[in-house]
Amino acid sequence: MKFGIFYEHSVEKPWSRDSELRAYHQALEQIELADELGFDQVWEVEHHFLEEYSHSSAPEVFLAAAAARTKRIHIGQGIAVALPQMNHPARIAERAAALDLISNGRLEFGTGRAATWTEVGAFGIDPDHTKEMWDEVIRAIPRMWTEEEFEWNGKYFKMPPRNVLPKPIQDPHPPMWVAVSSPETAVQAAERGIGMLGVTLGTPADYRRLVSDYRRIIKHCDPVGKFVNNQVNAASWLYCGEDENEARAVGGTAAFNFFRTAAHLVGLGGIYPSHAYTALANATALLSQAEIFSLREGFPVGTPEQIVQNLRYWEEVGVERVVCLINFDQQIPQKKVLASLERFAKYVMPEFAEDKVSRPAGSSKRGPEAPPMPT
Amino acid sequence: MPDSGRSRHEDYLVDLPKQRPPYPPLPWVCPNSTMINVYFEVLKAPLLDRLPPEFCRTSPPYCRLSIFDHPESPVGPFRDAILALGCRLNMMPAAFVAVSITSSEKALAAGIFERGFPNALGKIEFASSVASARAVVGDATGPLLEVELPLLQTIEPSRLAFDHADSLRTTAEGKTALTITQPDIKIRRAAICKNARIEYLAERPETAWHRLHCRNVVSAQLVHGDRRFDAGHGPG
Repeated sequence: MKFGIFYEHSVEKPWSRDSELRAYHQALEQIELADELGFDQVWEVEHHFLEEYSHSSAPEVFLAAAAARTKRIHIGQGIAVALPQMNHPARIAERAAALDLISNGRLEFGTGRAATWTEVGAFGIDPDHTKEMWDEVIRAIPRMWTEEEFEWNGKYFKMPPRNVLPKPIQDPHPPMWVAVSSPETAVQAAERGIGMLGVTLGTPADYRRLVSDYRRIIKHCDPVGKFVNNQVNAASWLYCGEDENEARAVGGTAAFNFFRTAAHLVGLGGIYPSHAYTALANATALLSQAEIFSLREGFPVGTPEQIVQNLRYWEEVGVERVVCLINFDQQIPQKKVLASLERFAKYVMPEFAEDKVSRPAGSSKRGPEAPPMPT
Repeated sequence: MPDSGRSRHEDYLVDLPKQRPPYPPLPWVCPNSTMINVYFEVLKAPLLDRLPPEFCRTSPPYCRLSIFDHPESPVGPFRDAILALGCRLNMMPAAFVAVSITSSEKALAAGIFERGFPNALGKIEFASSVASARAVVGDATGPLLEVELPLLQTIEPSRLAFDHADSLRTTAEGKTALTITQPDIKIRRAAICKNARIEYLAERPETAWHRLHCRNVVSAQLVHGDRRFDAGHGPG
């Protein structure tokens, strides 16, 4: 099993003039270290207008900086929001290809649709059609990457014949993923032959059914890309502490503050009940205070020994990788974040090593059970 | 942390009548009720001004306007309108009632003593059909706002759910008590509207109805079912 890190660029109030500057630059320093330590992937989200929770609205810019500072770690768009009113599909394809070039073939191309009213409402997007929009865009982009004359006459966007440039260096194109937070989307990921990028900070039990359905269905997929990516990433929160008390006090508290901030977002299920979104009403809180403070099963927060034990649950579920948040705002001092990464790499990663050599940059991505390439 | 409310509890104290007016004991079952519900965005300052400090605002800030028509009830036909602030209480979704109007004196009495809302008498017009719905809410001074749902689409009732309402009720001792009223309509038929509008009918900047001015309608629903007009309870 491999490990990655991901970034929301949370910036808690009160804000100072350089709050966001520090968040971005500390993250870059963390990624440089993670690359040296053997972390496999780094992902950054795309969110807009989500005060405190995420100030990460230009992920390709940040990821390009991360790519330039690193050599081996794969660079993940987690996600590129595939809604034409927010990001024109050609611009998505262009920026992704440019990232793939800058990273020398290390891009992981994650996609999805926005989940909050804050975002879709601001861009005038009809929430009822976001799933269809995403589906159309992810079918178009691989063709933009692989065709010299791309033309599209779809329901949600149209393009006359053009050569979308640059092309990615990975052949035929970067691995494709979709953000998954529901059983329905796990099925859709599998049906389309793209990777399952877990974005809910849940437990192994939460993921078990998603992974099971995904593995079963992808065997018979009709891929949207030129090859199948059948990997599964789970999302969690990581703090590898000096001892249990320190881990709970530092990592557990930061995790709690992250969840508390996230609870104040307005998901579409909260105020936009429709044919596409069932109203969640009182179920919209992510986690209760008790759940967070108990540090649910599978959360890699604790001593190295405790973390190894927790990660075994993820091994049983069968995910390829656990990708973790490692700080909220700068609540955990940078020295402690870096120390946590080092401690994790030294004492935990070896317990899960199967292949200690990262995938060479520029290689295409196929999982062990990929169906034959379409002819 | 998202901003906490900055209203004072005293802002929600009302003058309780010395003697409790008679009204049938709660809960009242109000069969065949209809509710218009609209979620809309508002500016954060007026929302925070009316939100008690126990609650935090959401991002973005929004309100929920619910207008009920009860053709039958233990107190006869009556209507009420509730303007609630979307918020969080201990990380959980909540809706704090900033202001509320009813057409029934008995519902007003029951609300003041046992729910914390409604807390004003007024006049509410209400009309709905399979295709559309409309309501006008007014207080003792006159009409305040009009809500129109011009084009309804039927939706499976199981797709809808509404959070509890929170309020500050005045106690017999003249203090405030945080009161939670559970979602109170059993939905039998439902429809959504994607082009609802709210129009403000007079300049009434002194009222919460106008201060919490709609900046952007998010969604609107029309719901038919049986409403249970019940007492609230304390938290926990």
